[in-house]
Amino acid sequence: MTGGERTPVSRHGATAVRVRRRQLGAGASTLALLLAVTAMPFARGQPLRAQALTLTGYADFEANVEKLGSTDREFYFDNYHVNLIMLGRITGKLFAAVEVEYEHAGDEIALEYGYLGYTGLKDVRIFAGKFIVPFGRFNKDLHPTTIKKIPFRPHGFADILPQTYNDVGVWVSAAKAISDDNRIVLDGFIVNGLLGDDGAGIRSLRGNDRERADFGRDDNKAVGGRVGLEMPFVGLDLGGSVYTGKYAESSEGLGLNLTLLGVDAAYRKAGFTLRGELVRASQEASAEDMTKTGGYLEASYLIKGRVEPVLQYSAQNMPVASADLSRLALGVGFVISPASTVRLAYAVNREKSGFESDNNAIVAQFNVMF
Amino acid sequence: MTGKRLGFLVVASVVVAAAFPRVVHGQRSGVEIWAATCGNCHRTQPGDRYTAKDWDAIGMHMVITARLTDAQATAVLEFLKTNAMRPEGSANGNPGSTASRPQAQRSDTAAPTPEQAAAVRKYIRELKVRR
Repeated sequence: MTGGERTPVSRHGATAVRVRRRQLGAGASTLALLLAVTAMPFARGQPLRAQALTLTGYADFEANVEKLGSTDREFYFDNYHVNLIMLGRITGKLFAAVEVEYEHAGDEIALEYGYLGYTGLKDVRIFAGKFIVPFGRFNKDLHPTTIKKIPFRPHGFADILPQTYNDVGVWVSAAKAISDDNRIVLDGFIVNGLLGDDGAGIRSLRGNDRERADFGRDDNKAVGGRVGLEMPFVGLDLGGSVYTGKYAESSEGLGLNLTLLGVDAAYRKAGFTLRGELVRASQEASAEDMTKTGGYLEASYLIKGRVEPVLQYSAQNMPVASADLSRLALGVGFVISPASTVRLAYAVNREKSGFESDNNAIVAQFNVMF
Repeated sequence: MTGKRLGFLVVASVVVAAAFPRVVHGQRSGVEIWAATCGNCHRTQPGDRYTAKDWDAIGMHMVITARLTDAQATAVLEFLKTNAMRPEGSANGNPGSTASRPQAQRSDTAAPTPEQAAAVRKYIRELKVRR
């Protein structure tokens, strides 16, 4: 699937030419918008240097014991993250953010995000570059580690929403006050999109492959967004998210779409927090279309600002029964300072069908922002 | 649901949101918004953790992450900068660079205005409730 091929792009009959024209129009509009936005500071004669540039970041260290109860028990230390974040106002309205991640003691080095943002429009911000795709809350609010109350990744947010899902494109974010205290938040994005083989696992579709000339560079882009209601003085947040795009082509040259839908909610009162999120994927495939669902519910209570017990349940339903999983995780966080925490967690992992493995896990984690 | 329908849903949501009457923010102070919003994702960081210049960058990043309105963002950033760490020897509050942070003095060496003192008392009360 290269950029030079001429193939039908939809299962539902739109001709390639018409779709290409529309996509080229969208691309040209996006380019014009970006040029206009980034050119404004220069037109006003503002110098291109950072007015404020800050280096910050976070790190964590873990001791893990996995497959508890099995003869293959694993014990290992993990320097999961040492991530550096650079933030800067290039001019008064032009903002830049970069996070470089060193995961697993440097085994994985990647750009978590790196974007330019224009903040000169009232209540609207426009970004271009690589960003964490604003779908739901878990993906968006994953980092830094200090804000994740259970070190385990809940089911549904690895194999369905492939967290951390970051991608390259344009992102528009807006907030609209609907009363003195409450606001609606809107995010919309157009990105290169997830890409891979017909029927492949969603997690394997990540990788910004549409940036590469030798693999999948084409004019099919994914679009989506999130609409949220934020009521901070009530302590309630609600949101709904969508992502849709072509991820592969069948052997007959038909476009295969992947659509993700998500809902998220959180309620906070004093030190109590209850939050949950559901995600559903509809994935077209030559063999058989697939539906995948997953989600989590998490409750925590911060006692005297120092100790925070957490209970999290997560589960996923997949087309293959052996991948139907659930987990009950119990954890406790000890607040060392506003920027650091020690967390202990125990996970009971269950297979919902078939053979039940001895694969429970314990993790002890120290994390810090700097 | 097809991609076209989903796209329509997103566009319709934007139109509905834009149709809401514009509400002038100002009844909530920066400290109130800070206490109610910033602690939703992470523990609230005190203003004197960073210099005003650092808050310019870090604060903007957080404003983007939290999706604050411009009015809310301005109020929170003013609060944080008012209480920001001040570099040693900068009595006028001229913000310093990150490199000067270890030598910096806390901002409470400067006498707060009555409004600032009241705001800080209020946020401490809020913190006790929230955290």
